[in-house]
Amino acid sequence: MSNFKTFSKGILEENPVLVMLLGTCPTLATTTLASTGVGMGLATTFVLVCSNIVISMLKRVIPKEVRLPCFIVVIAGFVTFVSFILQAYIPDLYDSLGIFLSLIVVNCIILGRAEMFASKNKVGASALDGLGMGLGFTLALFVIGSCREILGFGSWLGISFEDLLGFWPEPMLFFITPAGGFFVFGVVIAVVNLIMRAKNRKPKEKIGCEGCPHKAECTKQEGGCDAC
Amino acid sequence: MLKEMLVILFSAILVDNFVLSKFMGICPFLGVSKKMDSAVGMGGAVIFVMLMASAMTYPIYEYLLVPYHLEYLNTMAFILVIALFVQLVEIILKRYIKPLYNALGVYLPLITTNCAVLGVTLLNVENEYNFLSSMVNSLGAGLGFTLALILFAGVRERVEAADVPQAFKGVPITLVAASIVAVSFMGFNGLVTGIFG
Amino acid sequence: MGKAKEILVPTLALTVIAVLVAVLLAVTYNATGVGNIQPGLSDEECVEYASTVIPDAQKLIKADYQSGEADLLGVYQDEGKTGVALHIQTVGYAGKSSPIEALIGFDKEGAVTGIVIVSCPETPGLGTRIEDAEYLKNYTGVSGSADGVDTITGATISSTALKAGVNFAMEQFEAVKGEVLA
Repeated sequence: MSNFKTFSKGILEENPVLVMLLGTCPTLATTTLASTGVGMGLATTFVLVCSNIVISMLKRVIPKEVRLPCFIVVIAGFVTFVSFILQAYIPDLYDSLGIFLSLIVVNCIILGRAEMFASKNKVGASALDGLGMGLGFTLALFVIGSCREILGFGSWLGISFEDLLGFWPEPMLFFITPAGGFFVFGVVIAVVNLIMRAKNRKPKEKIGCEGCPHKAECTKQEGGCDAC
Repeated sequence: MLKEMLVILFSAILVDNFVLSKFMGICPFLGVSKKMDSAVGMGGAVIFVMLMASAMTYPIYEYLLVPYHLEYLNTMAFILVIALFVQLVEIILKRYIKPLYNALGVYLPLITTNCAVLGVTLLNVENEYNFLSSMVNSLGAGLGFTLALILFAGVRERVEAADVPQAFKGVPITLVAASIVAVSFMGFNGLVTGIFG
Repeated sequence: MGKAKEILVPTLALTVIAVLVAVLLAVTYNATGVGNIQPGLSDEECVEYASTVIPDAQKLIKADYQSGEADLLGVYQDEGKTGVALHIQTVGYAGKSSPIEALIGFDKEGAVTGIVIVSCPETPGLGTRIEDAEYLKNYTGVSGSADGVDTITGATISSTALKAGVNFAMEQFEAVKGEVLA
């Protein structure tokens, strides 16, 4: 696979959220505003790139039996590092991400890429893969965040349409509520599926099995992923 | 005292439902809700791991991290404890309690990356709950997760049979159905303060 | 020997990695100085905010008042005795560790003259709507109890927290007024 392909596949073709359907929790929780979505996306991208690099470097050192705990410790280290940086320099973003900043640790995109890519590939390729996947994640959060902010808040990136244009219909609060998050996410996936069908690709029928870090264990079970 | 515990319990189950209002544990919520019995199995496993995780992380935080001013290491310490514990339980169940392993085993590895488990331990610390409150909060969070999963499994069994537009088939209609279930949970807002307040 | 190695190697590897990561974190923690960040505002900033909630104030200073209430963070009095501003905190959706902070201005009779939210770590777009000037106007002129003020749909927890905070401030006003307005 060419370097460019390694990088670009995560952004559209194998977008972790829109196509692989991973990392759904932060996708729903941190997208009430487009800007928080982007903040979350960039924080995750940083952790993903760093952990991919380190895990790729350590792939010969880490024993197979304690593979997952080792990956998790490395990821948790970078997550805590990011939270220090945000707390010290961008406290507003730190406050609005809240507990979901710590929960980047259990974002299955990161563990999934560690397990499926970084632990099998060279350092450079792993970094590119992490960057592509991270930017794909950021893009998805930005799209969903924009939809929710425009519909539910009548603004985009903090700019109120009413101030800008002088008129704007009453924003529909529903879209900022948790229920609205599910709804917007569903519609965005439906649009992605339409595009994929137009390009003769089959959309994913199931949530997140392909890129799930536990795929190997799951498929060992009777019935494989379908057991879920 | 009792009233306080009941408020924490019912808030965690209904008002601040982990899945539908806090957005934690969405992956298993969408992935494991296709059949009723797997929903029950997953729910049981989550309740068990949440309770054990809270029971273990409380002393670690209170007696190891706080005295040495290492609170900032909580995320790392907690996730390490949870990951190791889940693997340990899986091995023990597989070796000694085969029936339980058959019922819950499949779901255990999935729980390591279930953000609801790490989430509940972090929230216990953030809300400065004592040991008892932490356990009650975890129980409520687990029950709330199970309730949402079971209700949603019921909805999905119907949705599978429904005739939906081509583009919405599969995941999109599942998410829209989840949205409607979430709307119904919004009705619980103010319920707990209304009853106990 | 083989058995011992099988157990020892993974344990050691995990331990070494965990210790390394922890050490690096401790270093960054001290380097970024995150532990020393003072949460909350300086007295000067509070005076600045207080002047926006007491419209008639001449010169505001921090009152030397010890309440013993943890949620009352400070009292700001006007030298012209037109009113007093109470700096309070109240627990909203974000939990005890990051409460909502507000400065609430009162006139001599105990009616609210204005509210400014100085820290609002609530859900962006939802809970943060309690910061809207339009909404906060509903409190202006209210005295005795804020129970009659409506909460915001979709931001029930945050706006109820604010209401509880205003009620708390009203109680505190009764205790404070003898000392700083006399």
